[in-house]
Amino acid sequence: MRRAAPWCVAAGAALLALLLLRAQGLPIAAALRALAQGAFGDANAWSATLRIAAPLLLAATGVLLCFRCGLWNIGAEGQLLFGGLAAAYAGGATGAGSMALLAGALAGAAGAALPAWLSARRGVPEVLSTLMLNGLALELLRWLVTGPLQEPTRQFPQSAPLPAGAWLPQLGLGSTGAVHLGLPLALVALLVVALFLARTRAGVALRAGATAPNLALAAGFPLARARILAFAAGGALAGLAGAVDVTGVARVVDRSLAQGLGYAAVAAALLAGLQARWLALSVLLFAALQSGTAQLQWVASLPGIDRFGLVLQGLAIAAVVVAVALRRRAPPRPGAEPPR
Amino acid sequence: MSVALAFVGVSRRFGARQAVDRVDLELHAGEIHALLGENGAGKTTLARMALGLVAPDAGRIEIAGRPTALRDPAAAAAHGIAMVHQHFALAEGLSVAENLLLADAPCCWSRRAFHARAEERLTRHGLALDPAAPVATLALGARQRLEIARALERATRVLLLDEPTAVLTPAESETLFAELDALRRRGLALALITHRLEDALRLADRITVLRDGRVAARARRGELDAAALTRAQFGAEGSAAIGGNALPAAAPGTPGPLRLVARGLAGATFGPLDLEVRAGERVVVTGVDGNGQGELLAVLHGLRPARAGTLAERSAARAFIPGERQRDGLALPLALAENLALGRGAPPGRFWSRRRLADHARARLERFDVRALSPWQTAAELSGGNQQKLVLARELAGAPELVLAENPTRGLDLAATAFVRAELCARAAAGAGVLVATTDLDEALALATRLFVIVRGRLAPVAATRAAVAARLAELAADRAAGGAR
Repeated sequence: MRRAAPWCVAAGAALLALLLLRAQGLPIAAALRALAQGAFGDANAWSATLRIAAPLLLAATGVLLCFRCGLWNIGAEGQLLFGGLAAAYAGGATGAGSMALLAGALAGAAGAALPAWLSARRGVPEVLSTLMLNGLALELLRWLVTGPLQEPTRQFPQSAPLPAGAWLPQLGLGSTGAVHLGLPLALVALLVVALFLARTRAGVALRAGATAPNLALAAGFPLARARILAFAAGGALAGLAGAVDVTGVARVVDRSLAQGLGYAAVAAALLAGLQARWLALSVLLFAALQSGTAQLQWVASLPGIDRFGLVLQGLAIAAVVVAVALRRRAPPRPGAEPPR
Repeated sequence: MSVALAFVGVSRRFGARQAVDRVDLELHAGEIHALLGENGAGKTTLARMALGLVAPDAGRIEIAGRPTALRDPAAAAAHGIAMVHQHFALAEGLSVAENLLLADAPCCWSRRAFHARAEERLTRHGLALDPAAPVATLALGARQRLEIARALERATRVLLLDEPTAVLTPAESETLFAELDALRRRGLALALITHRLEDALRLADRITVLRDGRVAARARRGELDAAALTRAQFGAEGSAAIGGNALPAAAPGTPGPLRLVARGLAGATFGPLDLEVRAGERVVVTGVDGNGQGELLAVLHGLRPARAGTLAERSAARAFIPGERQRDGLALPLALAENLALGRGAPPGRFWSRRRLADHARARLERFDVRALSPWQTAAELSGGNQQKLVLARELAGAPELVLAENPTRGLDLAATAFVRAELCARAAAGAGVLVATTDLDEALALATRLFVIVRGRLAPVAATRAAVAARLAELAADRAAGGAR
């Protein structure tokens, strides 16, 4: 039963998505074709998918790092927003892409360090604090793009365009040319995180500390400090994701920054079973879903279709989270504990 | 007095373990019956049978002389059986009255009437509590009184109490004893589940000692022999079978250099105490669980801070073998190689290649005879004995100068037990100071070159013979019982 449940959830979610498409008046076959076309149909489609995959992989790597250490950081969305905003500011002020990326990573780290510290020293559940900071980051974005960071003419709710010096180098692919340095950066980050967790004393001790804190402490490992640092590093990766997205694609900051990318990162990390070797594939699936639904919206061009892509993505995220929860062992009922 | 509840030849097996084995036990109305025994002796399983949480595999339960099947907790409650658990289940944010009347039908609109109703119930049970007080403000003794009051709402026939004095101060224990005495006189059958002999001696009309799921001894008030009960509780046979006599004796001659000096050391549950461990010594602290030995070892290792006192001469090269090996000794989801890499003798270098980790692990797995398929399987997949060997492989590799171990052979089979003890002796022979805390008297006698008993966090030196330990424990228990009665 426990084995079959995740698949039932996936099938149910897919069925629900198809029924929603039917309700929109789209033939299912055409909808599926549009999805695949939009994700992998040609070089432009690939480029769109990989453009989403780069920040998603960075953020998902940060989530994976935190989760493997037993730190339930649900705040990738907010940390990504902090990073994007800081990158836009630093890139505009210095005109240097490297400074924009650095500022993004630092802002993401700072956004994660607060819940990390609260969790380690004051016992505040990080699930709650990071989730609440997501809301705060979103409001900060809305305020900044109509206030201090708004473009000089004060007509649009967005920042001034970044100077060309702050743009992330493009690697080319498709006419939009939007595969940028962020993708190799994300792959390197994933490799570094994977090796850190598996092949260094700190990584192994942090993972041990997730289930047996006394073991790590008895071995003389400064667990509390290391957990704060790992949490901040996860935030830095999410912040970097925001910075990469701003400097590599949009080159301005407006209210469309992130839009659930941080939540998709959590879902992608869970879908990969928190295994680094499956993360790139899982991220590619989520990126494809996102770029595919963009195409779907364009093909369909029905009234109200513009938010439909987000509905599909939300459905996919919810399905993954439910499936992962079902696969986990049920907590023992009180009074039904196994014998000692 | 009449028999309120009787277990007749009940047995219960969990997997490979026979938790309860053909036990006969009668709880009489108007009596306190103490169930004495170590962890895993079967006390809790018996209680859970009476509560309808566990069904016996064999044998039967009789209530007032009639065989009765207790299918679920509701059935037990309907027969007037209830239990006060060691861990309270109170709603902290609510008042005493609200907690007490939580399960009742709503009775009244006015707060005053509500409190009066609670007050009336408490008075009927002979328990003094302020109905308006929030539970969060109550001391542990008062919380327990509230738990008893709640249980008494159902317990018209039998009240079971699980380690009721474990969390109480001596003064609170006295109040509890008086309350239990009053309940006894009202004709209730009380079962006191405990591993504290002194509580049993103070209160009980009958004592039944359980060991390994069987009745090891029975006694009635007036024929209580503390020494015999202690022997029954700890077990008297088996030391020869596990090679106790084969272990090397204390190294003769001059004692080695100091490995640990504690002066006036105190924690939440032990001390203040003085302790010295020298190279080559095997110092053993024995006593029933919950007398502070776990915290003592954690403080000695530096895992928890001391409340008072000083530690000196403590070797940096320490091995720490915790009592809860699955919780504190191993990271179960991690690979064996990763578990082994976390000790003092970690693989060299900052970056561990897969091969370096595997080689490091293989040497230790082989040296400590851990039966594993691969260094990359998880610690959770090993059997209990192999898990403990894995802990030893990590902690004892690389010549520690001080070894701290709690119940190092608990739950292990004879071969693994012999192996673990031999390793501890080998470390001492190689110049380490070894300090072991154990509840197993056989183990204490087999290992110790110097022996202490621990009761309520205090150490008392004792000669390393069974008679001496039994006499000392009985003496301490009797002291406490007498001291409490005054």
